[in-house]
Amino acid sequence: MTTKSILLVGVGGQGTILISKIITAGLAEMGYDVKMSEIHGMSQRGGSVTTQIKYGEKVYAPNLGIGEADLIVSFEKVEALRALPYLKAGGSLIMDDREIYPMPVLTGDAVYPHEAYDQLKAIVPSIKLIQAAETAQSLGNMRAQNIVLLGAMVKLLGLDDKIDWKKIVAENVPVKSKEMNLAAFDAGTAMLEA
Amino acid sequence: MTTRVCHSKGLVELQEREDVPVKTYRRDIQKFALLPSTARIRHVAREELLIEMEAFANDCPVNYAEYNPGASAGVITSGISYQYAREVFGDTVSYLKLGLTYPLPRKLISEFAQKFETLYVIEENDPYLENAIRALGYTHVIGKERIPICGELNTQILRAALLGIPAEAAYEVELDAPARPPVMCAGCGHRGFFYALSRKLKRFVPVGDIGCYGLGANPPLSASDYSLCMGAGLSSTIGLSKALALQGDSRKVLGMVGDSTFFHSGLNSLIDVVSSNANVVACVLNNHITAMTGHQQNPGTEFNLMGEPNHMIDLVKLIRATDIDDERIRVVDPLDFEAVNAALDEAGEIEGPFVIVTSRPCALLKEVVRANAGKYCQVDTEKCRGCKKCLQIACPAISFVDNKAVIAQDACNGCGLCMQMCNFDAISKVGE
Repeated sequence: MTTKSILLVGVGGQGTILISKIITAGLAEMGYDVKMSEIHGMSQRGGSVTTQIKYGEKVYAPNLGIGEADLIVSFEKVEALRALPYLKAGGSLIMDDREIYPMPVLTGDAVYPHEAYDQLKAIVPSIKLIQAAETAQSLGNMRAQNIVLLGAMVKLLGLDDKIDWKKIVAENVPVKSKEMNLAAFDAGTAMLEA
Repeated sequence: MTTRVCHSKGLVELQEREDVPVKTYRRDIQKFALLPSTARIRHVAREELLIEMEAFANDCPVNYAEYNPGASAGVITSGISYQYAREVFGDTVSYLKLGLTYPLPRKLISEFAQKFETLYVIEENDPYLENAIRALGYTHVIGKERIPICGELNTQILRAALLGIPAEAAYEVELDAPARPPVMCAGCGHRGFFYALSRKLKRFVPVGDIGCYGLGANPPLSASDYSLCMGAGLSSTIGLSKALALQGDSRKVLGMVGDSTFFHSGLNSLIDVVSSNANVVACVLNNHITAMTGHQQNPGTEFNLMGEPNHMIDLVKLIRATDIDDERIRVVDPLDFEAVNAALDEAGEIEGPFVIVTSRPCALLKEVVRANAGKYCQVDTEKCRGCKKCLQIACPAISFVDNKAVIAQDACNGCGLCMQMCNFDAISKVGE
């Protein structure tokens, strides 16, 4: 197979790195060569965060460039907008319906583009808008947003029935929030059911 | 070691751990005590060793050539650049992959280079390999004339530079994504100190260092003029204070380091500040952890990096030990606006060394998060006049909706700095 590339984008503190760890472990279990790369210098300081995952028979470069992502998973609307140039022609885009205002918006120096989804939908009609953060909140903790997105992403890639993802999720989350995270994973896969 | 290598993960094969026996300490004054007389002898030995090491480099497993049949060119590369080259060229070229580049395996390079009419040298930043290969006489190599010298490389940059295939976005949208710069967290103690300092820049020239407080340079606080290297937040202040005096600038230099940076190399400079009686305010912004890099312990914390109990060094005791007068030291809570202001005013008035220690544990520390659970500030929209004064502290929890301040309950931890900003008593704290 040719190498596949996934780009996860979000805001520091949203847990992009944890799910990249889980998906990497899953892909490795399936026998793929996997490389993961992230820029997280300011991960908890509210800056933009990107994580790149590449898998296939043999992966060389750990990072991807403009027009090279088979799938972009965005934890926040503006970040989807920012990441768009990285999407491959015909690639997939999953976007959480969540807005987090960056500092220039909070201080009034910039305007938040609330119409991001409509614009993206117009040029990438297959875009999946999901309520990951909201669902996580209703399950008990907004922080499980990343696991909802993980479920959606695994489903979209058609990898949901290949291995026991829940086992890997359970291994990577705190014991006391295990059940909630497993429910979050199920909710995510359900969102992408045909 | 480049950023990309440090921030990437891949699959590795685990092998049995091999325990290497501890080498017995051996006394050898001629070899290890580098006085001028012994150093001259050791220099000869070192040069001999380098010759031996180059022979090793020519024949070691981490330096190897991969010859591909029908290769159109040769690529000499090392590190992460090899991964990019491999992806761009595949098996269409041959590779010389160098894992040990000093001393350079010149024999190996010559054997490889003379086989190719077209020879690429692919490396990030400075042309270290390229210059050395040119010096060997292979002046036809293609390197930095086509490959950018700045920034990290990737497959697209190489494709564009060496194959003339530019990267193209498949999708474009006209909407601009507003920038999302990193900011101090909600409840961060640094915010209070930097805000107070930002109001007093007529009195001080602020100098920063490496850590979360480096963000104090960003607008709207903009209260850190430069950061050079770890420790320079204090070490550079003495010289700067003399330079300012020479040009008749009456502002006092105010240097800032974090607790971890203070233990790393700030203490040495504080000793210089005190002993040279420099006209400097030395600030230690103590958030009780090495925060920016992800909460590593330091000598001022309860545990060591292995999680074992530490002899926790009392930072203020250590500062007193430099023999600075007690009345020239102030310890304040950085989120107590009045206290910080008072300390800065005193520091600015007194000629000579002054120390301000701000003490407030990082808002992201587990015990702090636990202690602040359920606490938050809220805005009384009746009282809020929409003056935006609370926005000046650049707190990510505060936004502005319909001309009124709004505090996001899930982001706020009730630090109360914004309450001190508000002139209309419109902000109150919940959960105390």
